[in-house]
Amino acid sequence: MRNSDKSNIVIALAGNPNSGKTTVFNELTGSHQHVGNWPGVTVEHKEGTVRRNGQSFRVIDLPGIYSLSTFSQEETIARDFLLNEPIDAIINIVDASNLERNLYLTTQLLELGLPVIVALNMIDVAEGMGQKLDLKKLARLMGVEIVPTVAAKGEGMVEILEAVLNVVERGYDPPRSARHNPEVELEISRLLDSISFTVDDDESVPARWLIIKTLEGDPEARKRLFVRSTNPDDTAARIEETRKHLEQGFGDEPETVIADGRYGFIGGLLREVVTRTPSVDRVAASDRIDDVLLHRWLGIPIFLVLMWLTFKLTFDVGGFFTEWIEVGVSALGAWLGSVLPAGPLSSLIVKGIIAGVGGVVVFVPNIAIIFLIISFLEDSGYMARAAFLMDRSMHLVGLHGKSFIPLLMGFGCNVPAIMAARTLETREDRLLTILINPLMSCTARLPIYILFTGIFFSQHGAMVIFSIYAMGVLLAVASGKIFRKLLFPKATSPFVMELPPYRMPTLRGTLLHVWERTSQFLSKAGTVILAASVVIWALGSLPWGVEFSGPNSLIGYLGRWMAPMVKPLGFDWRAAVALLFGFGAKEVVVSTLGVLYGGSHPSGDLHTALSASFSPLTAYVFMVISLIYVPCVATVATIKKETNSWSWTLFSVGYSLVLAYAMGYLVFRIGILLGLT
Amino acid sequence: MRRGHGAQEKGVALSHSMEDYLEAIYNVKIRNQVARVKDIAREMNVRMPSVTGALRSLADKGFVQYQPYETVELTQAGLNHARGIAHRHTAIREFLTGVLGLPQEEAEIEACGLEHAIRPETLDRLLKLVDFIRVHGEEDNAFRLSDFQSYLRNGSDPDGHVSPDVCYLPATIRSTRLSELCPGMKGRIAFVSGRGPIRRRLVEMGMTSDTQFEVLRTAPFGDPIEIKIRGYNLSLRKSEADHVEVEVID
Repeated sequence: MRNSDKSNIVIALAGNPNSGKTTVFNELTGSHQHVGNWPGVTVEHKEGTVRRNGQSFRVIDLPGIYSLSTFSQEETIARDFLLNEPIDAIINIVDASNLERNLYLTTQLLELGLPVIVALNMIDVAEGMGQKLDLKKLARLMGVEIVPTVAAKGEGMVEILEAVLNVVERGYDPPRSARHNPEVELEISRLLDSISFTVDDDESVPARWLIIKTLEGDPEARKRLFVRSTNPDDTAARIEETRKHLEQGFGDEPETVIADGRYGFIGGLLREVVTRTPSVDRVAASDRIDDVLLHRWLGIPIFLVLMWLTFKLTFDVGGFFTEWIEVGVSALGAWLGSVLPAGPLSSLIVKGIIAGVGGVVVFVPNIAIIFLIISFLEDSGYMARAAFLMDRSMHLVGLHGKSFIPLLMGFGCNVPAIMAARTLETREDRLLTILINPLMSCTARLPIYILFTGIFFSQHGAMVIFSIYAMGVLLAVASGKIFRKLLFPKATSPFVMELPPYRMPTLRGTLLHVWERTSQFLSKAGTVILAASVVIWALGSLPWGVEFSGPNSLIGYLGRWMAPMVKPLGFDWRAAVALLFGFGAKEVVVSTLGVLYGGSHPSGDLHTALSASFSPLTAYVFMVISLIYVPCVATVATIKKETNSWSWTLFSVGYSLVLAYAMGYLVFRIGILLGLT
Repeated sequence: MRRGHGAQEKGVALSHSMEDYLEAIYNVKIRNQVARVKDIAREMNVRMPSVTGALRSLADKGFVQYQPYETVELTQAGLNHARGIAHRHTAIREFLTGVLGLPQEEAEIEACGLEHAIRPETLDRLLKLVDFIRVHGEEDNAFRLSDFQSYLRNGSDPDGHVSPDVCYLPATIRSTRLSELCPGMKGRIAFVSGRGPIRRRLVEMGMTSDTQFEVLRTAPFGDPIEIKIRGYNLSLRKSEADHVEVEVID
C-alpha cells in the first residue's frame, strides 16, 4: 500500500535470508532501532529510524524470505505488511554474488506496483570473483533503480536514502516489461480485460498482481480479487478456466509454470547484463572449509567440540560474572539491612526486591555470552551446517536439526536455551523445542541431586545422578514425539535450506544482537521474575513475625494443605514447601530443606534430619520430581515471552506438573513393588 | 511368474503391456517434463486410441491421473513402478549389448520382453555385474568370476574399482530420483513430482526443469544431502529429494 504522509518516509527492507539485509538495516538505522514481535506471532519485528537532510525515514526490516508465497509464517508476514501498510519504497537487498536466486523475489516485488530500489549488496564479493555486471542495463531492463552496496563496510547507504527520496519526490513509474512467458502473459492480460472491477477500486494493490497471485493459488489474493470485482462468481469461473487452460497447455500446476517463467526471465536478464562470468567460484573456498567441517566422520565430532566450548564459555565464564553479581547483590542486601530499620519494609526490600532483582540480573552474563556465540555461529554461516549435521538424529525424534543447540544449552540454564530456540524457522519447531527444553536438567537442579545422593547413594552417586539426566532426555524425546503427533499432526517441517558461503560476521551486528536479546530479557522476562520473587517473599514472610518460610508462614500453611497430595509420593508437607519454593529458583530448594528439616531436627544437622525423614526411594522420587516439575519462574517467564502466548505457557507448566507427579508416583510404586522401602 | 516389485507391494498385478505404457510415460516425462497422449503414442509406436484405453486402465489401478484431453500425471505409486521398469530395461539392455555383444536394436527388443520378469535383487546384481565388467574390462584386467562373487558377498572389490561405499549408483542408470545420486554426480532436473507446498518450495528455490546441479555431499548419516544449484548450496532431506526426478550427466 502506498503511503500518503510525506513527512515520514516509510521504507521496507525485503530480501532473501543471508543477503545481508540485517547488516543494511543496522547500517541504516544504527542504534535507533526497536525490536519486538509481529502481532500475535514470534517472528521478529525490527524497526528503526534514520534522518537525512532534515527528512526522517522509518525503516522496517521484514523477515528474510525467498518468495512472496505463503509457504512460511515469515512470508505471510512480509506479504501482509507490503499489502496493508503504507509504504513509500521497498529496498530489495540482493546478494550480488548470488543473483539468480535472489532476483526471484525481486520479480515478485516488482509486481506489487510499489516503488522498488534494488540494493545490489556484497558487490565487492561479486567483483572479487571476477563477475562484471552492466548495472545500467540491468536497471533499464528491470525498470528499477539499482544501488551497489557493501553493507558490511557501510558503503552505499547514503545512496539508498537518496534513491528513496528521489522516488518519493519524482514519482515512480512501475516497470511494464513482461516477466512471464508469453502464453502466461496473454492469459493475465486476458483476465485483466475481462474482469470488471468495482468503481471505488482503491488500487492499493495492482489488479495484475492479484490476478497473478490468484493464478498461483494464493488464498489471500483470491479473496481480495473477488472483493474488488463486480461479479465475483464470474471472476471465479474465469480464474478456474484459466488455471485449467494453463495446466493443460503446460502439463503442470500454474504456480510451477509461473515460477518457471520467472526463472526463465531471470536467466535471459543475466545473459544480457553479465559481461564477465565469475572466474572464481565464491562458494569454492566455502566448499573447501565444508570438506572438513561437514566431513563424514569429522563433521559431528568437530561440531560437538564446538558445542562443548560454547557450553563451557557460557556457563564457566558466565559463572564467573554470576558469582560476582551474587556477591554484589548479597552485599547490597546486607548493607541495606543494616541501614534500614528492621521490619516488614526492610525485609521486603532486602529479601523480596533486592533478591528478586539479583535473581534477574544473575542470568545476564549467560544470556549475553550465549547470544554472542549464537550470533557469531549464525552470521558466519555455521548454524546452517550444524542443522545439516544434526538433522538426521533430531529428525528421528520429530525435531529439526537446529533444535540441537537450544536443547544442549538447556543443561546449563533453560532461560538462554529457550531464547536460543529463536534460530528455528517454523513456529511448530520452535514451540516443540521450547516445550521440551525444561526436561534438560539445568545446573540449578544439580545441588538437589548432590545433596540427596550424598546422603542416600554415596556408593553410586554418579550413576544415580546420570540416571536422572538420562530420564530427562528420554522424557524429552518421548514428549517431543507425542507433541509432534498430537499437537502438530499436519505440520510439515521441510528441510530445504540454503547453506550460505562462510563469511566474517560484523562486530556491530553481533553486539547489536547481544544487546537486543539481553535488553529484551530484562524488560520482558525480568519484570515477571521480579514480581514472582516478591510474591514468594510474601508467602514466606506473612503473617508478619513468623520464621521465614517456617511452618506458620503462608507457605507453611499451603504446604500443610498440600500434604495429602504429596503423601502418595512418600513426602510430608515440608518437602511440598521446598518444592513450592523451588518455583522461585531451583537453588532455593536446598536452602529451604535446610530451614525446614535442619531447623526442626534436634541435632540441627540437615544430613541427619533428611536421613530420618527420607528413605533412599523417596529421596530418588524427590530428585525425579525436581527434574520434571515446573522449571523456575524465570523459565516460565521466558517461555511466555518467547511463545508470546499464555496458553502455551500454562500448557507447559501444567504438563510438567502432571508429568512430574505421574513419574514420581510411578517410581515410588515400582520401588515399593521391588521392596525398596 | 514374478511381476514388478511395486505391483507386488500394492497387490496390483500389471500386464506386460501396461508396464510398457508406464515405462513410456516415465521416459517421455524425463525428456519433456510433460507427457501427452500423442507423445506416448509416438514413444510406443502405437495409435492414440490404444494409449487412451491403456491410460484409463492405469488410472483405475491408481498408477496415473488422467482426464481426456489433458496431460498424463504419474501418481507416486505409478512413478515408483515406472522408474523400476525403466531401470530394469536399461540394465538388461546394457548387459545384452555390453556383455553379450548383441546389436543395439536386438537388445532393445529383448530388454522389452525380459524387463517384466526380473526381480529387484537380480536386477541389482545384474547392474553390478555390468559395472564390474566394464571397469575391469577398461583396465584390461582379466575379469574373474570369483572376484565378482566375493564383491557381491563382502561388498568389497579386490581392485577397489567398483566402490563398496555406502553410496552406489550403477553407471547404467541415467535417470532416477535425486535421493539416489551420490556425492560428486552431476545432473539435470527432469521434473519435481507430487503436488503441494514442498514441491512449490523446491521449484521456488530454483529446481525447475532442465536446471543443472551437482551433488556435493551427504550429511554424516547419509541424510540430508547438499547440492549446488544455480550458483548456491542447497540442502534437503532425502525424503524431499525423493520428489525430484533427475537425469545424470557426465
